[in-house]
Amino acid sequence: MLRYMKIAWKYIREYKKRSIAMILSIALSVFLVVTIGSLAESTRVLQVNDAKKDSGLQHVRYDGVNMEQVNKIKEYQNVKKVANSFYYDGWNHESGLTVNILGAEKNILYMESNKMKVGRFSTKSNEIAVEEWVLDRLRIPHELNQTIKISLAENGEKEFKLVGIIENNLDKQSVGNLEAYVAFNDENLAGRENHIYSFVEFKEDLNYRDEAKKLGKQVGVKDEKRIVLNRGLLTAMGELNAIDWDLVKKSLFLMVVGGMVIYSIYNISVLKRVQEYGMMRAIGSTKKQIIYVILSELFIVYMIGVLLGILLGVFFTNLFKGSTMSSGLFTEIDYKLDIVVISRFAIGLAMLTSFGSILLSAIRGSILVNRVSPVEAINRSTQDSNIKFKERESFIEKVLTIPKKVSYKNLRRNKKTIIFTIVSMAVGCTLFMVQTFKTELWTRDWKYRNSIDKSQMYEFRLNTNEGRPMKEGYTTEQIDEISKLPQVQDVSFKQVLYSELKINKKILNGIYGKNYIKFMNSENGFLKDLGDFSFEGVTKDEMIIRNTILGLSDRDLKSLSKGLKEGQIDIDQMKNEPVAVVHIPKVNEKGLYFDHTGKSKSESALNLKVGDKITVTIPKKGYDKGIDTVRLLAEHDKSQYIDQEFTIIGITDVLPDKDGFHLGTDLAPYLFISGNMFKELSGIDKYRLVRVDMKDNYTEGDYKILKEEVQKMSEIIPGTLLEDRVEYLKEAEKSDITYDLLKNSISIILILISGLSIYNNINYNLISRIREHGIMKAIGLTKKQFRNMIRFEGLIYGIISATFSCAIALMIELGIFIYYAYIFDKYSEPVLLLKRFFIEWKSFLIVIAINLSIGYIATIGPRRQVDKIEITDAIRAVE
Amino acid sequence: MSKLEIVNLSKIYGKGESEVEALKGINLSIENGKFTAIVGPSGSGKSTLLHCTAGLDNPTTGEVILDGKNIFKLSEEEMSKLRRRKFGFIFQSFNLIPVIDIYENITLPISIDNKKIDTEYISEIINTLGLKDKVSKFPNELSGGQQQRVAIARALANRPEIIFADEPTGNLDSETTAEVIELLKLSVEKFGQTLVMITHDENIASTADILITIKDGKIVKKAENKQRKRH
Repeated sequence: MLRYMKIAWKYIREYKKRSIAMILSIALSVFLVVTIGSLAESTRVLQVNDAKKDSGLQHVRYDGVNMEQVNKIKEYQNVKKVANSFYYDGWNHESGLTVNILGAEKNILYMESNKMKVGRFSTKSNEIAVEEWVLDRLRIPHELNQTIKISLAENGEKEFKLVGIIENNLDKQSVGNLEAYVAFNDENLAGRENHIYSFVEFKEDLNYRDEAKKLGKQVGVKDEKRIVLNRGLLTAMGELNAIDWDLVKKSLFLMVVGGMVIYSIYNISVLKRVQEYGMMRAIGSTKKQIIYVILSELFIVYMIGVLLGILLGVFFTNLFKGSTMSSGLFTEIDYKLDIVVISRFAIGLAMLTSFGSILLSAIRGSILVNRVSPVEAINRSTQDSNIKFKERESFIEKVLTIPKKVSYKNLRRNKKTIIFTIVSMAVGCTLFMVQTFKTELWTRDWKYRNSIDKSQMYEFRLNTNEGRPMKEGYTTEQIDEISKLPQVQDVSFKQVLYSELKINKKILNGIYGKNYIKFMNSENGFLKDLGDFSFEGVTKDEMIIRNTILGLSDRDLKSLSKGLKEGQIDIDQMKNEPVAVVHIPKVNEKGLYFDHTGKSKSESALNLKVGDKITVTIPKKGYDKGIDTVRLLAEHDKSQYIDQEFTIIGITDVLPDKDGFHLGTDLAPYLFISGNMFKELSGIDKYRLVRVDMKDNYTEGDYKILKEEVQKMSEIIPGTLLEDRVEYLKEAEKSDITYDLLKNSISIILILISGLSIYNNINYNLISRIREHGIMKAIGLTKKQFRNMIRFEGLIYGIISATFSCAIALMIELGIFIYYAYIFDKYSEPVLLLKRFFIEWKSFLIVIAINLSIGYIATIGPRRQVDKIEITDAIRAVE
Repeated sequence: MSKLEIVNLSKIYGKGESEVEALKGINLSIENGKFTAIVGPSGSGKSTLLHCTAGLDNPTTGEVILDGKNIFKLSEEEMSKLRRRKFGFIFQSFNLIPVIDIYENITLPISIDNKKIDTEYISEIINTLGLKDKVSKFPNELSGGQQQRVAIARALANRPEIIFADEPTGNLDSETTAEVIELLKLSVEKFGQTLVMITHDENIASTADILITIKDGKIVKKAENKQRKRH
């Protein structure tokens, strides 16, 4: 074997350029799969970590256990870590905010993927530890060992010593969930002994769902509702451990592209040296021996390529690790991708798929050697000499000069090569164009969506607590004040009223509507503490369901008008007449709002159309005391309600904003009316929902100033939920950039590989016709004419390949658009609001430029090579 | 009609130990309107002499004078023009362009020169060479003899002053050889051109006006054939 390896190595060195091209092609494919696979796995690890941050490290939580059970849990063999906590009391802060105080073991921070910033965790009864942002929200200075007087909801006023400040939990911060921790000890636990929450993390590589049940049974937690699985984490972990089919698909795709390149390069290489094989056969080598040489050569090329690819992949992936990346695509934000893993699966897959592509070449080489006789091989009569031509000239041929016609006819003669070249080029280019189109499609839709509703873009949001009287809210003066701040780009504000809708049962949309009501009345639907979702009406046919009314400013009505599915908005009419726009939840046959499989068809729960009349019923009074509204809504009592009929003038699938509290569920229908009508209906002229959009390119200083101003505003109405999404949005943006970078990298590398193929094919085509070029030069073709002729040929390759890529991409893009605009909608909420097809010219121009450039560049080498060869040598050359 | 003068022409291939002197100071004058045959053993320098004389290859030293000018002083562009306007070439292995038809192959030098094709003249050549029914065919559809006839027609198409033929019958059987040579001579005489031909065939050589024998890169004999019959 070593003998064959030595001969193979000589071949590799002899045909340096071709060997390098093949190695490069394998290396690029392997590199790509390793990089994509590693980055994808890193992303999934990141998702697991995000899930851990969101919902904790625990695989399961046991609710309402006692110390005896806790001890049993701790003793269980498969348990890795346990953290116990209990609800201690509510801290009614003077600002009106309520902080949940939890008695907890220090491990709770571990479970939340959090840590102490300064100080330590509470260990004694009168000690407390609080997150940094919570202190800020409560305006408590960051001073350790200070005594804080806390007004407890159940136990009156009590003093605590601040012993530790905990790092911010971004998720809690973004939704304004205020918490503080006291020690988990007997004194604090007194009276709550049977209400412990035990968070359990199991050891690795176990079936966590089974373990959770098993342990529950062992410690005597029989009620399944008290065994709360961490579904977010388990789902993310399940995805991490599952086979990455997306990567497998990409690898196979790359195998085809890379394989085509290797195949064509090796094919050319074998054809070129077939004479040598013939010589070897003539002097006594067996076919088997020559095949061994071929296999050895490909094996060496494969090994070098794979090793190089893996090294490149590991190196490139590590560039992401901890390094600061920035992208000019969407933002100038710099960020770090801290978690980077090298995917073993990706390495294995890359090795396997590139082996597949090299095998193709090995088979081709072996077949050739097997088929050709020594004499044929020596004479190189391996190519098909029976060229068939059409007698009739095409229009293009008629207008071409003879040198160009020769080029053109040669292209037509090499149909296989041209198809090969074009397909391999089109793969990368199409992927690039489609990717760019998709990015642009979603960017345009995103912009359009934001022109209707900025709900995804705001940085701060103030939501008046549902416990506060409904008449409370922010005045237009207060809103104006914040709008005028230089750090603010836009402020949107809405009035909110919890109401009910009187409907005829007939408007329930068949099984969708029926099951929707059923689901909403179930434990998983509307919050039970707030009463039923639906009530029987006065007559047999009547039904009353909950809904929310939003009062919109002129500005918001204008935005809303863009997002209408049916009808149109006349602002004057809305201000003066009882007309409304409605949003009806879409559900599947089971009545569920969301189906994670995305396979079940969704329809509106209610059959409502423009022109229909709809009756809203609202409490007559109770707006002075928030709690009364809640109670009134919990049990419908007709004597305390007044009705108002509205005519529907528009239907929208977009829900511009919703109340973050229980009553404002987006699972219920929404009615949008003008601020005027809202006031007329309820007598309320204040705004309970205020969204503040910070200006783009803000500085840290801007953020601090605005944060302070918004917090001040939130403190005007005690208990107002303040959402600060600055960090959260930054994180989301990072993920988008990573995604785009990754997708663009894939396309660029594919184009690179395809470029290699097109270069190689053009190169070979030209070199193989050296004799023809020699003859033409001999009979008087000038250098300039020759150059033009070759350029023309390269450019023709580029033009055909660009046209093909553009045509394929255009078809795919149209398909994608139709799917998202008209087909996907049937199965879920509309994903594409802007139903307007477009051609992403930039990507088309780039692809045309790339193809023409590669076509042109590919001619430089052969042109120089042919130029260097004397005419007499060229004429003597054997094709 | 121009006269071609070869002055002190030398050609050295390779360097150092592998150096080979293919032509050693050749001096020769090619006479107008005559058929000059160059003969000699393999490796004697015949082809090198022909290629250098025709401007297909560059000599190491020496000159080829045409119309009072050394052709090696011409720019590449001028040399190409010279080749397509004043010279015609016929090669041993026909060297037709496989992707274009016979008519296009014949008129290739004119097309390259972007000149209008004199259809009457081309038809005359085609008829003379018996290619009338082959013009729309492609080279691989013709026999060797037919392909060489096309090559002759191509060499004549641009009304060149001198035709260089490098063993034009080397790949043909004896019957076809005789036929092709007859046609070549007929055409050259008919159109009044000078023919310089390398050949191994003594029969062909005996029909030449001037016979040059070359050996080891030197002309060893130059003989005029006064008995040669004219058609």
